[in-house]
Amino acid sequence: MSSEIKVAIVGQPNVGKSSIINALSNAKLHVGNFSGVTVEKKEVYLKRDDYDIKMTDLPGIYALNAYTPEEQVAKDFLINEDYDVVVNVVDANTLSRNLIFTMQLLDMHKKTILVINMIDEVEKKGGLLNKHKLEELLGIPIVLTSAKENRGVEEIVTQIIKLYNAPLAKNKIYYNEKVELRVEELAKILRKSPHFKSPDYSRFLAIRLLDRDEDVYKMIHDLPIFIEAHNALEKMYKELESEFDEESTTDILANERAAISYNLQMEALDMEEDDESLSEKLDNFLIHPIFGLPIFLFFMWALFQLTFVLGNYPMNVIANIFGETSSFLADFLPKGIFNSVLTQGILPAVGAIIMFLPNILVLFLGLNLLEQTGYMSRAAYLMDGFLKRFGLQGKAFVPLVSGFGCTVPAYMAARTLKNPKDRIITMLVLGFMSCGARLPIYVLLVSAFFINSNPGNMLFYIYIGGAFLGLVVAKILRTVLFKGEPEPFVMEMPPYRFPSFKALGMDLWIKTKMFLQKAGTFIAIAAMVIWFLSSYPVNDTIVQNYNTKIEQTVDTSKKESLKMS
Amino acid sequence: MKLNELDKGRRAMVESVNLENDLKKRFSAMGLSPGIILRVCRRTFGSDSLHVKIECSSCLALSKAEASHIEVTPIGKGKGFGHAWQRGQDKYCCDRRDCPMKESS
Repeated sequence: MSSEIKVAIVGQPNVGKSSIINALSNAKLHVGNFSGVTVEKKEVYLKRDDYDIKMTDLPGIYALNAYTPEEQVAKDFLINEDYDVVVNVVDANTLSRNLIFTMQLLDMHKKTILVINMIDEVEKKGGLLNKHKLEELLGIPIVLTSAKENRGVEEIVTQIIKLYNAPLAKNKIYYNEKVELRVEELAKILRKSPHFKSPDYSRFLAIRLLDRDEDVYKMIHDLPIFIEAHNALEKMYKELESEFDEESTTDILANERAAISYNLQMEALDMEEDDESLSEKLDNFLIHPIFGLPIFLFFMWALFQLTFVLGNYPMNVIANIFGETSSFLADFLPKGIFNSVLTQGILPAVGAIIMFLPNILVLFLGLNLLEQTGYMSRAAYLMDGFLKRFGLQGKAFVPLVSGFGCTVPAYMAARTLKNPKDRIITMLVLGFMSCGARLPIYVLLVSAFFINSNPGNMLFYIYIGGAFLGLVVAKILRTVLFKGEPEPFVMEMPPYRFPSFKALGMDLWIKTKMFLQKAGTFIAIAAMVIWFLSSYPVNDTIVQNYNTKIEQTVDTSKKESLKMS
Repeated sequence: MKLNELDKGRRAMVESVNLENDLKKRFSAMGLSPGIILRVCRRTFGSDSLHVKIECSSCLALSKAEASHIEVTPIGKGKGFGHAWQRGQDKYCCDRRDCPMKESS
């Protein structure tokens, strides 16, 4: 009988968690939502030997002090859900910063594997990571990977099975003895409650309480031990802040973790700082104070040109295929209701939607490329000052641009904004960002009215015009309804990376599948309803009337196809 | 000196982050905490936002308003691996020969 291993994959944003998942062979990907929230939940199912491995890819999280709603989901999962192994993915290039979060995870004292990804990038810079040394210091197994080169990825699975069957190793991370003393004292109080009998769990909660974690504070609030814990906590805050000469115990723990992680990096990683990395050289040009914004506008213009020009060729092919198939089936099938609904209802309607799929895919591909290469966060940096004038902050740029592709993920991307007012304003103006579904209408109108002027330019103006109107509305909303300052802007700018074609392909395939499913179900059903409403009841007088009008206006070659049956 | 006043290309050590608790935790989680050494790579047109490189770590974009709450001490120019921690009685300093903190201590 096979046993199930539940794995939580967690890490800071931009560490390549999704690339690792894509690189796992024979993995079945399931995309859904976490219950109760519209945060994307990616689950991967694997079968190895006698084990069914269920991996849950959690949203990127910088620290257990969750800042955004998306991070809150990851935190809630880590603290409240049931899983056997934690796989913590970190970026080898920013090891010490990532290890700060690793230490918070190790506080939980669960079976943990540290996956150090992008090791190829460190090696290319001449860096050398002593895996065994770090394993010894942290007391957990480490896997060095490069998802891009498909290196070490399968070893993660081997380690998961090995760790699942091994006993829980001893915790090796301890803080300053003054802190540890308070942790133990507080944990002892917590253990008086039947909910926190486990020494590991009570220690973890004690650390979280000293870190001023409001979620954990709320957790103990209604329990009988609360008064004792609260009084002890207040005393400890004062004592520790005075002993360490810090404003808050949060600072003390942050400094402790930063110091430990920095020293861990110094012990295990030998790497010199680049004089000027390739990313910095590119940034000198791409986010230049003066040329940066025109370059960004050029990229957007080029994307819409490509959407129109490249998408046009397959569009005509698909339109012909559906047209020919409809004509063939109209002649081939016996005359009657089925023939009529299929050839005049379903096929033309579904075909009219599917023919725009290439345009939509070009647009999605372009936006994905901008995101995967790391340019999107640069664009947010460039736009921050401009967006602030409209009551938004730079980070709002990412959902706004995603809105050009599809509004649904754009709404989801708005979760990265912490401030509820910012989030609401961004979501309210997202409707002004023309999504892919509107593209067919725009292409149709542009082709009909502006075919002699540059249609790609017209498309660009429509999109930019909509976006500008959205910004004006955002300003009005900020001034009238959601008064206050936008959320502070701080954002990581990951190094430029060559996009993973597998990840791009996978993403496009998921979007194509969703689009075709909709075209094949909702649109087909809607087409049948429209066909029924336009065909019944049959009124001979009206039919005769329209046929006469057709006779009088349209040239002979088109008469037959237009005649009402 | 405030971070927003730091010249482009100049390296500095972060002395304190004087922001509200949540944001302070956020900055710390993103690698911007007292003791780290950073460099201002560039500013946007109008200096609304800064592009900051934390040495041996990632790059951050942050707005001028937030940068004005970060106290820094400028240190030597040029190449160098620098990183220092000095908190209470505990002192951690990197063992690189070119560490600027070594020179100053």
